[in-house]
Amino acid sequence: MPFITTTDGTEIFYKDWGPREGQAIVFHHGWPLSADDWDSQMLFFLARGYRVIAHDRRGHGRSSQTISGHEMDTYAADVAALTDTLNLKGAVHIGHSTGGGEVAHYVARAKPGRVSKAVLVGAVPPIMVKSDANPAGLPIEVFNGLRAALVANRAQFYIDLPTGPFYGFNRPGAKVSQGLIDNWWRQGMMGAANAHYECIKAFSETDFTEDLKKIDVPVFVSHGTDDQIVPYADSAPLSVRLLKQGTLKAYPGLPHGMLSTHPDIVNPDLLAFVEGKKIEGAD
Amino acid sequence: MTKTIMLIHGAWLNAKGWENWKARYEAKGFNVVAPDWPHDDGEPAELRANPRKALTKFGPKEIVAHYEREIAKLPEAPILIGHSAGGVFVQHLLDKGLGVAGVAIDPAPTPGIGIPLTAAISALPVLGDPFSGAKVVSMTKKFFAERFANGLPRDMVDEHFNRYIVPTAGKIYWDGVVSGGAGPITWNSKTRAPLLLIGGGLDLIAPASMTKAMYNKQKRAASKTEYKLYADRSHWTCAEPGWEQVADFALDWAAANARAGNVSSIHRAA
Repeated sequence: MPFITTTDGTEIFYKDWGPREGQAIVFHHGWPLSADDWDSQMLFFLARGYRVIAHDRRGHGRSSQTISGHEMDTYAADVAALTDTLNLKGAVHIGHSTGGGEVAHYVARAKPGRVSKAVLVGAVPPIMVKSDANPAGLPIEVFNGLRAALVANRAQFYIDLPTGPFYGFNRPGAKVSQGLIDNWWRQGMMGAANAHYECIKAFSETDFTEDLKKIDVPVFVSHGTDDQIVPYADSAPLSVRLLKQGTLKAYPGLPHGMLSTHPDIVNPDLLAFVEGKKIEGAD
Repeated sequence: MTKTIMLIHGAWLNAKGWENWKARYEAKGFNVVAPDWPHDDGEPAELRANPRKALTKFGPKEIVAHYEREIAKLPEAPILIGHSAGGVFVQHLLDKGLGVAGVAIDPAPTPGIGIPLTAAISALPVLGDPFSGAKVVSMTKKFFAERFANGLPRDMVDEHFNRYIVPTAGKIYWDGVVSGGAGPITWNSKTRAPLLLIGGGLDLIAPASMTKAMYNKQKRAASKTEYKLYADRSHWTCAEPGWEQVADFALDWAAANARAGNVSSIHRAA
């Protein structure tokens, strides 16, 4: 299994499939999952001749369970270490949820020529937590609730989240996939409890406003309107307003985990964006 | 020119926990009141033996309202000094325009503050039980010794536990941490009285990082706001050896910064 070692000795696990000369797409997973969460997208793009890369964030999946660095600056530095090692040029970076925050933070800092485009899917920017500047955000008590549940019984919490709000399986008439629920739990439990605890602060309290303003490349912002984890109204439309070259597409009724529940709907739009074509229904 | 001090206790304690502070402040010439939370009145040993079910009806909102009524009974606006959850209530009461100065010692999470891992771990006996919100919870002596009063010499643990610790309601934790407590605090208040926040470097219940985070929000207010760290103190800072320093610092600061002029003369016990 390939790893890179960062300057602080952390081993970051990554997958790198497909032709070396192919257009590189780098996938950034959400909390508290791993690169495995991208199966539906990596196979889809691999079959179309792309080079697909995904890493496990530090403290997640197969990467080192470190005591420190569970904040966005280090997450972005870890990504930079990976893209430097692979010497990627003109890569497309696609991030989901917390991974979308990581993408914004990395792309705003990336070396010239490394990145050509970015995609934020159900992503946490500009900022999740409620404040005077972000009155429509979620109160910190919501995140304290996540923290309390994680500390009290992480294993059960990681069943409850995918069983309920994450995939929208708590909605009437939802088609529940036990496989997705189990796989979510499996990925979550591979990671480190301390990293996941600290990451809650990173994804909820980091303000990505300046990152979004700084990004020069085209960015596709894709978000389900029935996202029960990162509420649509306080994220995607606000991010698009801050981006120089942002394109927004809202998916009516789709959940936070739509990449796994509805890849048939989401993937063709990702492909269109990567190929520089028009995305149906985007504005 | 207030000569009145109100002391506000936190979870797991009642007014008895303030006995030494009360005596010390009275010796300096102040009138000191230390009202219990509703249904927390009585001897701790007796309360431990017979936990009161009525506690489950009282969360942060109800307790703050109770202290508002207690303040209304006083002849003049008091200095408010609170510990732990009491330090949160002090901030709510100041926010409502009450008190001439406030001191929050090792405050528990206020609405708007993320809980650090240490505090979450310490809250486990309550938050680890999803049904505790409707229960009265008792603290074990082991928890008291290792996490609550880790700054207390081992040979004093039994005595302090038996003398001071009372059962508490899970509702305090659940409401305080995940339901928005007694409502939001206006961090950038133009009107609230001066506030001192005191943190303890060895505090495992309300870590100093959390006190500092609170200070960073409270310092946006128009009036004076300060943060004081006792690096070698635990959550038991109001009763562990050296409590007098904390008590004196708190009162001196409050007296020096109290609204409506300073307290003119502090009678020191001869």
